[in-house]
Amino acid sequence: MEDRILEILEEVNEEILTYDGDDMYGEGVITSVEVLDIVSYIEDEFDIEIDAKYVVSENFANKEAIIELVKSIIED
Amino acid sequence: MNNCVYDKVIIIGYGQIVNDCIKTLNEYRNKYGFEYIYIEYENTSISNSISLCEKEGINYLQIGDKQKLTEYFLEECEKTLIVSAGNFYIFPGNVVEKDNITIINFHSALLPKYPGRNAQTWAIFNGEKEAGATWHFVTKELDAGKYIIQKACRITENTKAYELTGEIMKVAHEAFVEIIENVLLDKYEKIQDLYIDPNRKIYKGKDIPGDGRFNLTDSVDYIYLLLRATDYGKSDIFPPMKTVINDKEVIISSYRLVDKDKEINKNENILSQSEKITDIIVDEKSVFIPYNDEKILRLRYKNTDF
Repeated sequence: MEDRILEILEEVNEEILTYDGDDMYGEGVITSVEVLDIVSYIEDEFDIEIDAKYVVSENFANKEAIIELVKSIIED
Repeated sequence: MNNCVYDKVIIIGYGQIVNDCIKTLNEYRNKYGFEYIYIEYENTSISNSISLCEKEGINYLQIGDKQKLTEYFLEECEKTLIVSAGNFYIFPGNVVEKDNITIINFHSALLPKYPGRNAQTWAIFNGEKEAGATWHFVTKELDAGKYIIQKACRITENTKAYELTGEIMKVAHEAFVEIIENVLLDKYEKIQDLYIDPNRKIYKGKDIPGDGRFNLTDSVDYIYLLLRATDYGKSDIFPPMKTVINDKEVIISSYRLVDKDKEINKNENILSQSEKITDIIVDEKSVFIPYNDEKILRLRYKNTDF
């Protein structure tokens, strides 16, 4: 699963994979449009629904946060 | 010597565009020394304008009440420029007409087309090939003041509303960078010299393309257009599109134009007999609609009574 998420992130914006900070959105590494692209691709790939309440900058802080978010939704 | 005519600059709005404009204006604050405040009227889950202000040392206020915000502007007595970017507060006439206040606003359309709400949606839905941003002076009539600058961006056959929003924000900021210093120096004519039709259509928030529904018998191009035009990701600007499947009303939870061969491989149980899919195929949670020789429009749906 992680590999597929990383592939999606690379497809949307390859800088996500090399970013090692903890505020990817705040630092302008990704845009709000890219956040929505990631959500859309992940929902489609894993047949899950990511509720709007989870679309907050903390959950898109870096690639690890995104993977953790997807895992927690799938496990719920 | 050029002098800024404003003692105070207020910026109001949310999203990427306001963040970009906050940073640009901050450079001019350092140059011209005006008092500078950001006002957050609406925020979203991913809004980070306040933290940007804290980081940049910019004063800010959070005023979520329309009446209080109006009172705040009415009490303003300094020579003030208000920059409205991604802002849903509509300035009332008594604020607009204050002698000491000038307001510029960014509208997400190439005015005079698509005044009002959700301009991107209507541009896509009406098959426009381009959309764009207009910075204009604010008057009592909505989106009708003198245009300062306009910049266009393309709409492709796959553009979704949230993607177009992002593109428009980019060109809007580019345009802002071009004009802001001359706005501060009061170098633009403020009187509208174009005829604005008093009976023009002003799009309202409650207007929804296709009345929010489609039929599976509609053309696939129309269905895809309708879904793209109303797709703002997780923002609930529009309710999910509805259609009827097997005599039951359902909502469309997602849609995607997918590669036909890959989709057949992924859904062998459903599509195995359909290497040349020419008909709509419905299963318990998806609808597959032929789009062209290579693509299928795949819709995922949910019952409305869950």
